[in-house]
Amino acid sequence: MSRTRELLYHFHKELNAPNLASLELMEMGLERISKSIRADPLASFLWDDARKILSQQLSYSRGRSLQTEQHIHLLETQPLWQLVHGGKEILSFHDPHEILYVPLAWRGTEKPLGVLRLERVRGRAFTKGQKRLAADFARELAQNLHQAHQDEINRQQLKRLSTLTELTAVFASSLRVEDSLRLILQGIQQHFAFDRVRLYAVDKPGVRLRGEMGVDIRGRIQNLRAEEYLLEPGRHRFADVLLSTPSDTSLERYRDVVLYLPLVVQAQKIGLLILDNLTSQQPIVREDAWMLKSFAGQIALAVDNARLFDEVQELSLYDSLTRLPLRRYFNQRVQEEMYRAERFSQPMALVILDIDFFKEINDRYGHQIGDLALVEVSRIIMGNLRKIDFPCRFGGDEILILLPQAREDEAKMITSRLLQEIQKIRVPVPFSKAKELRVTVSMGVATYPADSKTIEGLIEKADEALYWIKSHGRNGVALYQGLSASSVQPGLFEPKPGASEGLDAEGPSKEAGAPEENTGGSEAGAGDTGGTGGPQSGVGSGGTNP
Amino acid sequence: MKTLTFWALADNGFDTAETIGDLLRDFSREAPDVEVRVEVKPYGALWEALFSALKNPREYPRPDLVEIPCTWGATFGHMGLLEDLAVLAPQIRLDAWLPELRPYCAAPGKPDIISLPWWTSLRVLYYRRDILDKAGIRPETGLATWDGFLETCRQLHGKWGHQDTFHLVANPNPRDSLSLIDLAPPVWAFGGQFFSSDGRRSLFHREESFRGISAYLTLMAEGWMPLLGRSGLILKDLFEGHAAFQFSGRFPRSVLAGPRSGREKVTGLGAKIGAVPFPSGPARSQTILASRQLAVVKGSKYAREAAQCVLYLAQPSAGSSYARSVGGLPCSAAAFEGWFRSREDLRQTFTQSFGRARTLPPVSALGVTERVLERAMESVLEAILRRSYKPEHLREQIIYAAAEVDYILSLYE
Repeated sequence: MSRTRELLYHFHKELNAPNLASLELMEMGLERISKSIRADPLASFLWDDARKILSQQLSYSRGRSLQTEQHIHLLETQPLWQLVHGGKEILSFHDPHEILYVPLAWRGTEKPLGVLRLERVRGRAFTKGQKRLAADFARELAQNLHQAHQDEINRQQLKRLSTLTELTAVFASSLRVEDSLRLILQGIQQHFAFDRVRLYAVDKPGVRLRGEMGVDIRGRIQNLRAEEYLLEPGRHRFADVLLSTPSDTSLERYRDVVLYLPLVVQAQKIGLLILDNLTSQQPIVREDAWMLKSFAGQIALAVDNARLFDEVQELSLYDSLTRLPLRRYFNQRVQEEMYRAERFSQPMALVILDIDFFKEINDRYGHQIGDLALVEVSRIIMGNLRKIDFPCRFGGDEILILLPQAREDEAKMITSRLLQEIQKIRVPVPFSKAKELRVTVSMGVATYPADSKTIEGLIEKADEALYWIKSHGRNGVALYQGLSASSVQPGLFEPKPGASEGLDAEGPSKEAGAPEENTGGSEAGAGDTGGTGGPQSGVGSGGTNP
Repeated sequence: MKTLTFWALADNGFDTAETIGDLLRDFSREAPDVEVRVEVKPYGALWEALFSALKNPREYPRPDLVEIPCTWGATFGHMGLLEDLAVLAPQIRLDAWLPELRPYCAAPGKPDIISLPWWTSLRVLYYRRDILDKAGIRPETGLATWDGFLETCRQLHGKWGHQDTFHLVANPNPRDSLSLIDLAPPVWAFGGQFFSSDGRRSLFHREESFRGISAYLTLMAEGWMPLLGRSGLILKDLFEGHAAFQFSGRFPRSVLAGPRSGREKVTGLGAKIGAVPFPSGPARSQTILASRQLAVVKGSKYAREAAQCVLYLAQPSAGSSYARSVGGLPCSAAAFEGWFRSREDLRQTFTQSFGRARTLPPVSALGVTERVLERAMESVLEAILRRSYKPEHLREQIIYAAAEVDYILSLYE
């Protein structure tokens, strides 16, 4: 075997050691070449086709290698360009000393890998044989580098796929919107190492793009709710991206560091995911961008599903008419509050509220008016409770209100306020004589632990108190406090307010056989309520605010 | 054995790791249970590696200590990547170092000390005496102002013409590009600024800044300064005898200061090299005082040991020793005084320059600004390379870059 072949053979064998990363391979290659050709220093450059530059990777000198950064920008007219693109085999210079460039390429690749630069600062010029050998070594090195690059690409691709698999599992792990979004965004930020990930959602009418949530460089959640953009061309670049309208050229400028992913479900644009590396200025890896773009559909579905689930949850947990929580939700909540009350020895009150003559209202004026009345009462309730209170539509016209951490006096205060506010309701009834309907309610209140220590017991007691007020004039509140037929306490019940305010004379009561004191728009007579005893009540009289 | 990983920049090329190793010998004697493993990283790769470690510490392990340029401290400090050295080593007093360097040591808006100065650079204009003599140009007048300098270049270019391996003005940028450090002195000379005084807005798109950048670009547009490694030739600089001028903040002692004894006269190339302060512009004469800083990275398992190592390396004696090796300048006033050995002429120039020196403001987005500007300038230089450069292109790039920086600044509020 000739000396050259022998050298190449040994070179080939050494480079074929398994599991060598590109940089290790390059280091080994430069070291071997340096010894064989007696060149020092050496440098390797890789070709960046997009930027048309040779980017220096590694330098080698005197037995040491060093990662370096230097770019050589090439024009098509330059000899180095021809070397890179196969027009030349060898390029040499003699000033300031001997410099030799050989291509890093082999026949199996279309695109060049780069070049090697060999120098001889002192001594004679490179011989023809040495130049040939350098070119052969470079070819051998290129082949191995190509393989190593392919292996790295495959590993990266595998890593991306495994990342996506993990993310898919993350999407499936939680359906509450907030949790889902948080997991999705944090997963993407961490796995793809973005500086920021931000999610914007198109609102229901499709008019605005609203900020939902973001994740910063340290993986912390950011609230983007303050951000809102009109979805009109030219209004904002986010809108332009989503509407696919031409935007200003600034988007082009940032294409290396910002990725916009419109989220589309069944041809509907539901949002925009923005991923950027604006702080680090690290270019987004092309393959990552491709993968995320192809994954955008899944992300969109996950976001949409989470929102749908929340809507369905809301539907099953909230009454569609009154927007009050439903019984099911109440049952959940009351358990929690009961536990808390027991654990921390806190008081609690339960109110049962019933619209007076609701059946008669429906019968006389129709269900639509009845619904309106219900909606209005619910609105008043929701607007006049504390944050911790929990109302619920228990059924029909019956509303339960849980008042955590409320004693008797607080319960009185809250129910008194409700009574007053509800009395101000005027439901328009255009076809009636009075054109409007006044609404009143009756409320029964039971407290924990005084009246009962169980939920069922509280409901039962509150119901008894309600029954009492219903049979004692309605339009009032009764507290169950040791209520019994014989323990009616005189003087504690106060007349209903508004009894003499002149209501609709066309109450349903007379025709429907309802009691004289109807609240379906008619005045409930002051004396009619009678009632000197019964459970403590007296809330709601005189229209005074507690 | 506690092993500290130290990411260092390649200040001394292939010899960097060895030089630092030598420097750490005494530290190893004082702390025999601590081993320091030096990994030398190039500039861009270090930036990327620090961000990768910040974003995904599980996959990209962080070093224990790191050498960073002065432009990065505020950025990484703001993002919580750097430890407060005052907590780890309460005995630290910043009096030991030049007070002018203090802005580089602090986290923006906080009292934390996030890094310590290791070595500095102070930009001056080096020139070849013999070349100017031949052309009959006096440096004190010909190079005092920016206009004068450009005129001198024109005259010399006429004489020397274009030569492949000899350029009138060597490019101080190791990538033959343009960076914030390169642009700062001309921007200031023309009355420009990079940021508003509150650090919330960029100002380098203003007319004065534009004129400063434009003036510096003239060197490249005219072909006097090499561009982007164009030819593939190895370009040597003024200290290797291949340029007439060079803006540099370094002081390569082996060339300039001659034999170690300090008493002998400098001969050869060194004797032919002189220096003047950075040419003044219409507004002022100012130059940049930059530095390399040492910091401890958050999350280090041996943060206290790392802080001790930082303190050791940054102390004036070790710092000066390192500065000597890499051709930089020391960070302590005392060391600065005796730095120039037999070169009284250069000592005067550097002392004068020190009086006109300015540091970059400790704005959180400073590191990012550096990258954004580099990207913008690369686009402009590309146009010069392809002979399609127009001043409007520069203006456009600067405006875009300023807008980008403003947006990033708003994220830091």
